[in-house]
Amino acid sequence: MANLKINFEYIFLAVFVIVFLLVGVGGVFENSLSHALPVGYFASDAFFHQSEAQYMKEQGRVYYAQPSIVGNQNVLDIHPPFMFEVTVAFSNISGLEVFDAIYFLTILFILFSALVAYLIIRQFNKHVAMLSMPLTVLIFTSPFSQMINLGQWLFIPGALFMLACFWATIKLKQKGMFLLLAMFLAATTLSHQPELLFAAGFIGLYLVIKFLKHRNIKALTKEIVYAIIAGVIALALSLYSLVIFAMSWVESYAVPFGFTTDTQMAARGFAHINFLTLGIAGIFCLIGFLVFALSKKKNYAGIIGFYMVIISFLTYLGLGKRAFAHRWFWHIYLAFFFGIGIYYLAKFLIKKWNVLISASAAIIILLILAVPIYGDTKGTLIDPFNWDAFAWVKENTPEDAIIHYFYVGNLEQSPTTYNTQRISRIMVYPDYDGFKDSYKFGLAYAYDQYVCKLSFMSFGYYQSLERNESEECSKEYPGRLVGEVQKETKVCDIEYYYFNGFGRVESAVQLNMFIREQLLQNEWINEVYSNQGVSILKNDEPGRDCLAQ
Amino acid sequence: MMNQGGTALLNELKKEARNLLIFFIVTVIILQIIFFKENILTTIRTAFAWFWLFVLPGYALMLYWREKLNFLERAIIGTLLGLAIIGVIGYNLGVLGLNITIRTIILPIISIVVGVFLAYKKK
Repeated sequence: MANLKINFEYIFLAVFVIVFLLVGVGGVFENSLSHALPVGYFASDAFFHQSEAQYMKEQGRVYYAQPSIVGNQNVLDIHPPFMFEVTVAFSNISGLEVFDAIYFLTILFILFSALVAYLIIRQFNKHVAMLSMPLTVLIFTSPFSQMINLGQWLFIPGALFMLACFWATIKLKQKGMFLLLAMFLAATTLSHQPELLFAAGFIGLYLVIKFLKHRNIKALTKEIVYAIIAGVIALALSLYSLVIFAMSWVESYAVPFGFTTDTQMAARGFAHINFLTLGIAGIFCLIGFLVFALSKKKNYAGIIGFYMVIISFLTYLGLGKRAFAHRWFWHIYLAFFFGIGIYYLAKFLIKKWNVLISASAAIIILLILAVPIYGDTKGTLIDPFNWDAFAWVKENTPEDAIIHYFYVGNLEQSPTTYNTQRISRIMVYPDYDGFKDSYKFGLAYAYDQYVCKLSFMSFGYYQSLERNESEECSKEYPGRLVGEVQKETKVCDIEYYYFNGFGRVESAVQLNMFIREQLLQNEWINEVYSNQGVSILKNDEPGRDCLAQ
Repeated sequence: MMNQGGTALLNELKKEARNLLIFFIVTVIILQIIFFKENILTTIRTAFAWFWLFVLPGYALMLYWREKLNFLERAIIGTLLGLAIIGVIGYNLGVLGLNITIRTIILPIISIVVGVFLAYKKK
C-alpha cells in the first residue's frame, strides 16, 4: 500500500482559498464566472475602470483614453496601467468579458495579498501563519469592502505588489533576489504609485533595522547595492508611465504635507474606519500586538503589520486617501497579530500543538467568520435594459454622435454611459421637473487634464474640454480645461435622445415619457431603439422646431 | 548527448511539471466548486488563462531559486512575478506598439524558455 503523506498545510490552504473566493466573489457573482452584464458594480469608479479596460482591449494596447470621455482623439490615459494591462490579457485568453475579468482579478489580487502575508508570517511560525489567515476574510465586510464595491480597484494590485516588495526585501541577501524586487517595485509603480513610496520606506526601515542589529555598515553594503540596482531597474521599467503621472496627477492633485485631523474621506463618500471598526477581532489583534511588543525576538511579520498601521494613519500628515486606503487592508496587515493572539491563548489549553491542530482550528475560525458574511454583497447598479441600450448605441450610432440622456434613474453616475463609447450629456438634477424647450445637460467626462504626445518621451496638453479636431498638442499646462461642463441645450437641437422608463423620481420618469411623446409627433424624429426600459429617438433635422407651442 | 547535470535537471523538471499539473487540476476543481453554476469548459479556460499568463511564466523563472524556496513560495511568488511580467513588460511593449494578442503569446513563452535556461545554467 502506498505510503500517503498528508500535507495538512496544503489542505488548509485549499480550504482557505475556496472559502475566501466564495465570500469575495462567489456570492456576488452568483456562483457563475460569466455574466450578461457587470455584476457587483456599485459606483462610478468601477464602471470607469471597466469601460476603459474594454476600450483598451478593443484598441489592442493600454495607451489612449476613450475619445468620447476626453474630448479629443489621441489623449493618453493617465491612470496607472497595470490593472488594465493584465485585465485585457486575461480577458483575451480566458474569453471572459472585460467586466467579469477585472472584478475577478481584483478579488484574486486580494487573495494573493493574504497569501503573501501568509508567506511572510510563515517564516516566523507556520502555526501562527495558519491561524492568521481567517481574519483576512473579514476584508469583505462593510466598511472595509467599500474599496471593492466603490471601485477602488487600482489600489488593490498596488497594495499586493507592495507586500511582494516586503517579501523580496526580507530575502534581499539571496542571490538574484534584487531582480524580483525590481520587478515588484516596477509592478507597484504601474499599479498605484503611492504604494511605491511605502515600499521604498520599508526598504529603508529594513536597512536601518539591520544596521542597528549589526552596527556594521560593511555587512550591509551588499544589500544596499542590491536595493539601489533594483530601484534603478524599476525606474527604467516604469519611466514612461511615471512621466505621464507627473504631468497629470501630480500637477493636479499633489497636496502639501501638513498636520490635519481630517482624513479627507467623508468628503469623497467613504465611510470612516478606526480601530473600533475591527470589532471583536480587534481584541485578538491587540492581544497579539502586546505579545509581539513584549517578546524579545521581533520578526518582520510584526514589524510590517506595525509599519502599515502607521502608514494608514499618515492621513494626519495630509496624505488623505493615499494613507487611508491602507485601513481597508487592515485585516491583512494585522493578520499576524490575530494569529499570534489566538496561538498564545490556545497554547494555555493545548500544550502539544501540531500542524493538524493548527489547520483544524484555522478552518473552524475561518468558517465561523465567513459563513455569516457569505452572500452579503449582491446585485449591481446597471439593469439589463440600459446595458442593452448602451450596446445598441455603441454599435449603431456614428463615432462622433452625442447622446443626450434625459432623467437616467439609477445611472446618475456618468461612467456607466462610457460603455457606449459616445459623448454623453446627462440632464442635470434641478431640471428634472417641468416641461421646457431647453434643459441643462452635463458632459460625462473623466479627466482633469488631457495629456498628449509630442514625441516619444515628450508630452504636452490639449486645452479644450470638448472635441476640437483642429487643436494641437501644446507644451503649456492649461491648469483647467477650457469649456463648460454644463450647457443649456434646446431640445430640438439634439440628434439622439435617450429616455429611461424607470427610476426613483417618478415625476422625472413621467417628464421623460411626456417629452418623448411630444418629439414623436414630428415625422423627422423616430424611435430607433426601444426595450422595456429605454427608448432612443433620432432627430433627422436637428435645429428644426419640434415642440408644439 | 546530455550530460549528468542536464539529466538531473530534466528529471527535476518532470517532477516540477507533475506538481504543476496537479496544481492546475486542483485550481480547476476549486474554481468549479466556487462557480458551480458555470460550464466546466469556461472554468477550464479561465484556469488555463491564469496559468498560461501568470503561473507558468513566473514559476519557470522561479526555478532559479528552487533550492532556496519551497513549492508553495515559488507558486505564490512566481504567480506574482508572472503578473508583473505581463503588467510591466507587456505595458512597455504596448507603448512600443506591439499588439496585446501577440504579447500574451510571446511573453509567457519567452519567460518559460528563460526560466528553464537559467535553471539549467545554475545546475
